[in-house]
Amino acid sequence: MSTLVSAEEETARRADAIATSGWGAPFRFVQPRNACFWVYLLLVVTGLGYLVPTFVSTAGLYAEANAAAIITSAAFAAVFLYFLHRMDRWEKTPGLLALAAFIIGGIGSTYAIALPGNAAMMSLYAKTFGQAWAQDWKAGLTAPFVEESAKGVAFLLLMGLAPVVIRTVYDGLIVGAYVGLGFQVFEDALYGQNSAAAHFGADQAQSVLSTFALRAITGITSHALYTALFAAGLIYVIGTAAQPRRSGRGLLLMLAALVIHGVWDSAAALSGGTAAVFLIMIATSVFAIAILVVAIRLGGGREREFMHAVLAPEVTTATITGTELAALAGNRRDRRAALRTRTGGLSRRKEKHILKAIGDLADDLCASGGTDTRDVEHSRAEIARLRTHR
Amino acid sequence: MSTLSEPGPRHRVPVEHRVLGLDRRTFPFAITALVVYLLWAYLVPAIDDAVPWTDETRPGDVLQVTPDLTLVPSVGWGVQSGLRTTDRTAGAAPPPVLLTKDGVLFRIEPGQWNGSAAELLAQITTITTTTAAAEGFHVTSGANTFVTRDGLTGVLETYAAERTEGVIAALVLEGQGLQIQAVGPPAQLPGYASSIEDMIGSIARSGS
Repeated sequence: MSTLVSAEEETARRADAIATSGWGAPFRFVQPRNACFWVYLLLVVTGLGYLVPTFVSTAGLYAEANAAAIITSAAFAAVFLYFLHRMDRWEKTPGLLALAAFIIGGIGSTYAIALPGNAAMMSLYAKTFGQAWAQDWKAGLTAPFVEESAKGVAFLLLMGLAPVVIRTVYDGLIVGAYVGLGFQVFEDALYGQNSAAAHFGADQAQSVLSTFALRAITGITSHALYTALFAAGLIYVIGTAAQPRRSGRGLLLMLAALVIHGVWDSAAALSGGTAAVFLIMIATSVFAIAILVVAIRLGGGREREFMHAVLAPEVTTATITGTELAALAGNRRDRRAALRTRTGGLSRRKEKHILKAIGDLADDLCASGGTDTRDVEHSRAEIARLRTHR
Repeated sequence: MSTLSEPGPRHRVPVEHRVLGLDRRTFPFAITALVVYLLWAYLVPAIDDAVPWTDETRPGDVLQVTPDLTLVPSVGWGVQSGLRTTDRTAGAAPPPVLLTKDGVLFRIEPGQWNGSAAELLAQITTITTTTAAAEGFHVTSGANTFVTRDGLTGVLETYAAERTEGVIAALVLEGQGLQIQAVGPPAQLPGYASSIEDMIGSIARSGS
């Protein structure tokens, strides 16, 4: 009897975890009754209003530069997208949401907000503090505030459009990274064209490739990282059904994003024009990665709880083992332990396949709200098939 | 926002949350985004427009055009961009020079160029003809040679557009090209022609 009660409790916990986490919830972009939808459109259309004429009017002149910028930006984006896809290990971000994040980050935040804001702030610094001071500090004291807030509100709009899908700190990290990646790619395209213009339109491809190489080398400490931290901080500050508000922690993450961005952009001024600039850039990169790892660990805790609740009933019904549950709801060490302690004569490769299939089962369970649909049954059957076919 | 669900296209917003057909629970994020947009796209630029430039060139000023080239500006022009040779900054390359006076702009933009000054001027003309076609840009005089007081040789031409007239000059020194442009309303520009000529003629190697 106690087992039956336990099973019921587990099923109730699963349903609660799915409802609270928002896992499996679909994303619908067109929401005419949602004010965020209209502001989203406003920002993207305004951004296009600048972007399209800029590139169209010079399309013939800078065709080579534009082609090189598109190819290099796409290559940079592809690498980052692969990384984000791999990092998005709990509940995959819906593709349409990732695309919406990329577009508003690239077009809305960059061209509708950051471009006029940056120009005005830098001009004000020069007027107030003089040309020499502005030359050194205007970038570092403008970009973090203008650009992080521009990308931050893009993320807020996505939260408003997908309040069930974006609920955890991990969601903030991933969706924020997509917003930042869009910003980075579209900004790089603009820089590429500027670079070609700075050479009076000569050696266009070489000019763009030089810019791309520099941006790619320094790409780790980039907008994707800044915005991931900033958006994760916003989730903590705002609080959601899945993440109780923790303002202090959230503000620290947002502040970290601003500081990393600011120090990176002020590296030359901070070094006084000496070779110490490289040390500052390396130290900033190390610090940025350390903060990201901390944020991932902080965010991962809640995701592990949800994954454990979703899959625990499958241990009771012997679809998966306790070790496999620990691997799915744990960290890399738990995963290695599952591979090492596999039972039933399974090969390491087969156990990896089983773990992946269990991930599919979790996805199907979340999509079904925890009920046994045909997809769920199919996923269970797949796990059983993998165990028997050696 | 945590209680908000994602409505479908035909979803009806509960009456207590409905304002002009919109779900007012979505307002906080939408309004925050709108405020930030208005701040950076309109308010701060308006403040910037309202704050005047007060940095004017004084007797004895010398501007750094590139690490290797300088310019002596006419007195009383507003410095909107550019560093004096007495300024100390961490960066190696100075920003482009942009001076203004009574609606007349004088701008120098450096860049790498491996051809001659005449080829650079032709390239600049091609680019400007394309980018400023809507403003009716057209060249009004053929390229003429000029020599600065330091002995640097360049070429220049004049042009006109719907509401402006101007001069474009090109100068090349050791792989470094300069695009020099002076532009202003037809009523103002002639009054500053000698100042512009003086400034172009003052371009010299650093330390000369």
